[in-house]
Amino acid sequence: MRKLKNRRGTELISIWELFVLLIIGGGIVIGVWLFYTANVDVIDGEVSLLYEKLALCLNENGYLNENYLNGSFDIMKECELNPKVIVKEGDFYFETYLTDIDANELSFGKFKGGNEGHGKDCVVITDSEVNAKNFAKCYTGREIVRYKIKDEMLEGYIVIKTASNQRGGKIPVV
Amino acid sequence: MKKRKYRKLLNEKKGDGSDTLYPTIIRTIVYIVFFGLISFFVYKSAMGALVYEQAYAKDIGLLLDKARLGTTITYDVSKGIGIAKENEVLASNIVHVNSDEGYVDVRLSSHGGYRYYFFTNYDVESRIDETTKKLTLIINEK
Repeated sequence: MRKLKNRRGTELISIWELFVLLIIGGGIVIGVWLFYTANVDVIDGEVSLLYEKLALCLNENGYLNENYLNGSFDIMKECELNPKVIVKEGDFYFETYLTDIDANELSFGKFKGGNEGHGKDCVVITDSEVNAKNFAKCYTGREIVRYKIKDEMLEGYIVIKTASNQRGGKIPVV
Repeated sequence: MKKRKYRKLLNEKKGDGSDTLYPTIIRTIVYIVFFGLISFFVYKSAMGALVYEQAYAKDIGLLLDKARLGTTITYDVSKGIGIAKENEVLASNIVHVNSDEGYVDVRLSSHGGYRYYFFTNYDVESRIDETTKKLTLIINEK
């Protein structure tokens, strides 16, 4: 076995010892580097916050937002969502629709916004129960609401689906 | 003759002792330096700009997503200010919130920064107080 020796010829440290040290050191450096450069995943929180934001604006103390069934309802403006982020950036998606009390979807009162690809991802994930790493994360919930159609007060659900695939990113040196 | 033999034996013993002690000291020094360097690397990585830039940007982004109109948020950035000072970045340049485009940029070094988008459509005013080392975010209507 080769050994590093001093002038008298006695052993200082063996090549194998150096090799073991390098392996341990390399392992620690790679492990630490991977740990601290890893992406912190906050998407679950984000989809819940988007759901909450939509739910708070569409469900007003148990009643559906009074403008929701008007033909001119602007969900982005009404729910204070930034269209530049939701639509242009393409990291978010949401969908809202009304159902009757038996959870049958109504033919009116449906709104969508953002990247529809994420909506399709959500369908795939829900249907196949696949856990895809780079797919958007989704959240679906419903709120019981009362709404008026032709002067008749009805009860049903406002279903809200939200998705996000925002990973964040480094910005270049100025 | 006896004296010569005794001296020879004494010299040999002396030589043997230093030969075992010397490599042990060298080995101990090598190990201390090695593990010292590893500890320093781990510490620098943990306290590095990369970690805090991402953590601050995501934290602030989520806070703005959760915020309601008229809210004032106070957020501690003392560690970030310390890192920025080490990297010669002004405290006033650490956090930049662009309300129109809907993103927050955090820069703690001159090597870029981290960007995170928030979906709420508010006008966000941000400022850092260097004495209290706190970031204040004021949520106004657009």
